[in-house]
Amino acid sequence: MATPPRPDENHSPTSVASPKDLTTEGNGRAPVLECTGITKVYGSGAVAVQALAGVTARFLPGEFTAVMGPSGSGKTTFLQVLAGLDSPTSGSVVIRGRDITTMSDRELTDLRRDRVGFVFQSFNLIPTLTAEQNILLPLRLARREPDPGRLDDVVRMLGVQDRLDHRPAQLSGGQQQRVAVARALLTRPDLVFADEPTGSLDLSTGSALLDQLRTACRTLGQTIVMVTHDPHAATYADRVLLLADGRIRQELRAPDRQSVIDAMGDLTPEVPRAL
Amino acid sequence: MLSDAWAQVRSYPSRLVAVLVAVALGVGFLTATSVFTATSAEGLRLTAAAPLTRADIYLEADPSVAGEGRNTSGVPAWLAATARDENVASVDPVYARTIDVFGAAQRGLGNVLSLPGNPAVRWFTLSAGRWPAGPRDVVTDEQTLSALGVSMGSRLQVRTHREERDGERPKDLETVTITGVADLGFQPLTGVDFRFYADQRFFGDDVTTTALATVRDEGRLTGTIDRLNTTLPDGVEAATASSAADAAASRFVGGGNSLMFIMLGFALIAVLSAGIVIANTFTVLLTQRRRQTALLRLMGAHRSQVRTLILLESLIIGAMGSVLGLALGVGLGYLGARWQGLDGGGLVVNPFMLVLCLLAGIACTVAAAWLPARRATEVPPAAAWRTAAVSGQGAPSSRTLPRVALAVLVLGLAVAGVGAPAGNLAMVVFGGFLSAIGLLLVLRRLVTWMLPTLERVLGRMGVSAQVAGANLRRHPERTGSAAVALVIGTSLIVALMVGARSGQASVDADLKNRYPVDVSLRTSDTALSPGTVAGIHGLPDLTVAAVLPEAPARFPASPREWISAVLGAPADVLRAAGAEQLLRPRADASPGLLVSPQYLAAARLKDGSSVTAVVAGQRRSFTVHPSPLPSLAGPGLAVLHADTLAGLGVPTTTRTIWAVAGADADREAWRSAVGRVAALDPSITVSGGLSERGDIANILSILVNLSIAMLLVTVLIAVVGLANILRLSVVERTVEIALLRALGTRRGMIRAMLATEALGIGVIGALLGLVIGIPYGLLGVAAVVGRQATLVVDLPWTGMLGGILLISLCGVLAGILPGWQASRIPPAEGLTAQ
Repeated sequence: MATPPRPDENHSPTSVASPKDLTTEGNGRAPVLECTGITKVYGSGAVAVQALAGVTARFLPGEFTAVMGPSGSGKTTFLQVLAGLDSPTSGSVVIRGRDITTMSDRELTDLRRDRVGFVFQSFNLIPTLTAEQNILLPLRLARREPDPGRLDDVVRMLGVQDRLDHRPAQLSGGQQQRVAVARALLTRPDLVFADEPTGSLDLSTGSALLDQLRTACRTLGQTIVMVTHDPHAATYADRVLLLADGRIRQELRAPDRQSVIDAMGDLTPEVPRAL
Repeated sequence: MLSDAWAQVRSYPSRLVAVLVAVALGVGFLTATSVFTATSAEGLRLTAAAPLTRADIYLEADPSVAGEGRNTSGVPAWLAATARDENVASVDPVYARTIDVFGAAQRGLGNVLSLPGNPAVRWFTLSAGRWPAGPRDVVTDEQTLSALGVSMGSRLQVRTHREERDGERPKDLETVTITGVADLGFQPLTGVDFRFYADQRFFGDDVTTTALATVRDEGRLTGTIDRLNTTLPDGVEAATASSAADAAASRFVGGGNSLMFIMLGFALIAVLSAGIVIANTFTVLLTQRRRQTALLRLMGAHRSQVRTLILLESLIIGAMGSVLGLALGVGLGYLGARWQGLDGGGLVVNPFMLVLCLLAGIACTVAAAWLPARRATEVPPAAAWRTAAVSGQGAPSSRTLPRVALAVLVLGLAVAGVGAPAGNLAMVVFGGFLSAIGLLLVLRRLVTWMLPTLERVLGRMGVSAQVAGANLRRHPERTGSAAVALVIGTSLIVALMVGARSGQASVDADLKNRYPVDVSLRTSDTALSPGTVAGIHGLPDLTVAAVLPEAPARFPASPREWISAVLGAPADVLRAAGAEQLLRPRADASPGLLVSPQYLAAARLKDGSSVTAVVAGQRRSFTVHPSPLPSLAGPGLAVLHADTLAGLGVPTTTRTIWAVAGADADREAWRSAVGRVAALDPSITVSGGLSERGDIANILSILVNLSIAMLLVTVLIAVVGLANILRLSVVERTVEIALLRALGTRRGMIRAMLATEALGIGVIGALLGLVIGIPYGLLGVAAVVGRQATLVVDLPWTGMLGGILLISLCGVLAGILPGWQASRIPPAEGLTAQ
């Protein structure tokens, strides 16, 4: 097991799960995603930068997890390693019982296509395709016929059914992001990774989107891992993992706005770095 | 997948315009070559076969039997026998004569063809006038009339042409009347300037070897031919006129193949540079679409799917461009054939070739997109994040490729270098080709090496030039590819120009050696007319011209060679012609005399031998030297010093004038001026180096001009590519340019910056083209000239300088549109984006 959070660090004891909780919570349900002692070092020698310094975490089916932390805390690296987009320097990432760090590019591609959805701050829609074509893209890449009922459900749930023939440039930011979410959910992925999904949206649009994400999580059973630095966004999650200097410093369960802000405020930079 | 690719193409059509244009130009060129060849071949067929189209049987007799057994009316036995066949309706012998024609404006070579007596067998009609009625009536075509400066009803002086130096007296001048204008409907290819058609009586008792016959019953044609072949004397053959027409046509078409291969070669070069432009465009496009490609990979697209998508995109655009090029090429090819007057057969298109051209265009586009597509598949999915560093660099350039290329280059140069002095054309061609491949492979690297220097130079020329220099260096591989496409066209043009000029100079120098006198006019009358003498003295850049006194002479007879007159050449002519033997007479020897090497050999004499001759009744001894000079004026002549001839005190005539051109004389101007002088007097025979030079020079200059015009297509493609690269770079640098504007850079400076970037690439392309083109041009000439003559290096500096300026200017033009676009970027873009 990787380095557990240290009890002597600044945190609120009432809201922090014990190291034991981190690995056993879920009442015996098998985690969808599990990472163990992952480290990531960019570069080597004097210019080496440690982005992740031994992170262990489990993500249960249908769980909505927010990953928070200050800039440069390794949030995006964490997400990319979890999604198999970047290989860890050490440690393992297991999705549905399979270690993805040893997978070939082909296997990883299929995994992303069939089991994983992505949502970005910058929406990342293909500008040359219509909303519908964008939503159907992963299925078409897999040469699978879309289930008409499923497409209908997803676009209705996200309220983009009237915008399907539009190109991204003809959509508002909120609409673009909902199209991106629809694209991420259509394939019934086990996992949805979201990197600052509300970062480019205004407050109310962002809230609505988070609501939809949480609904998807509850009703469709998707496991969501969302990176954010917005405390308000984090309150929509079931739990918050606080990342600083490449390690998990705290886990908040059923976070509310104040507890998130407090926990963020408690993070101090003077942390002894242990590899 | 196809729809996604189509969506890409449709969304940013303007970014792919360069690809479209490049493919269209390349394929257009290929197609034009094919259509031109097919159309002109059909036109040539019709032209060559025209006299045979109305006849049924073509008869050809061996010269040994052609004149045999003439009956009382002069008809040879084989023609009479043919006419006796029960199925033969008419037999018309075919006569042809080559004549010298003296028109009002021109003098030149023409031919006269006999018209069949049976009007049904004549292959053209008259647009005006009447058919020849007498032996001195002719009809001719419109072009001949206008070239000679005469009209219908005019009388012309003609003389049956004879080869020079055949020892015969010139034939008598005859006067013919033009009674009609032929409506040929095509331009005949006869190899002569003027064409006439006359009654059979014009040809007197010429012996014919060919005849055309018609039959009464066409159904029995084969049987009739078989019968004729058994009954006619040995040496006479009968065949169907249509098979003879095919044979005649294919003889002509065969001559057109070399032109087709040249055109095909240039078309392939155009396609090659189109490929470079396409590859470069796709590289830049895919760099810009890096995040999008990463997103596709993130969504689960396999590498092969990414590659397929890009290749489909290139397929679509390649197909569109190819279809466009096909239409363009068919039109241009037909117009080209029409312009050459070879469209008599109408537009002829070979569908198989069209499909081939289409496929070549598509294959070229897809192949050019292959490498950029492969690089795109290596984009990591994580690059979909906006924060991911966008690196403009492609794959790290290999170190082995330039080394291999350099080795190939050196090897090729070595092979060519060994082959050139030995005059081994095959070795030079192979070595040149090999080194060109090597050069092509290292060319981009070469451009990259030049960029820091260019940046330093530009750095001293103000802010916008400085930024421009830095921009060129930022993407050296792009700058390199853009310049390479330009270098290919430029270097080939320079090579051709250098090759043509130096080749011509070498040929001129060689002719000067073999023909020490440029022009010799000799009249068959007793004396030159004052007009002729004045005309020659009025030639521009004349070194020396002199009328040569002449006296009849009797020399020892020899089997084949004879001398019947001696010419006295003044000292300045002898000096200009390099005839040193007569200028430094030995005090103890008899006066020098120049004779042709042929006479020397036939008379069993040696250089310096003594010979006794009777000159105008006086018996004298001479020391003979071989020289090309005597043969220059005509047969049967020898040359001695004018003072020697004067010393004999014999009466002389003046029938010959010689002229030597200055080193810088415009030989074309000389040729036309001499032609004008000679047209005035049919008694004159023109000879000398100038008349030998003409045809070679003409063909060479036509070929070179045609080739340069073709290579301009390559330059055009390169310029389109350059403009596109700059345009795409403006899209990429939007924020940066906006920032420059926000910091107070004026629009004009932004435009100047883009223009400087374009000019920089243009100048590099032009300079490298010059540096590469000159040696290749010289190598080519060295290979052709070989050991037959000495290579004279003559560089067309004015033409090359003009070309370089033109290409640099093209570069600036390529920068105009991107510069305008860049200057329209609002300054705020630099502050809001990202």
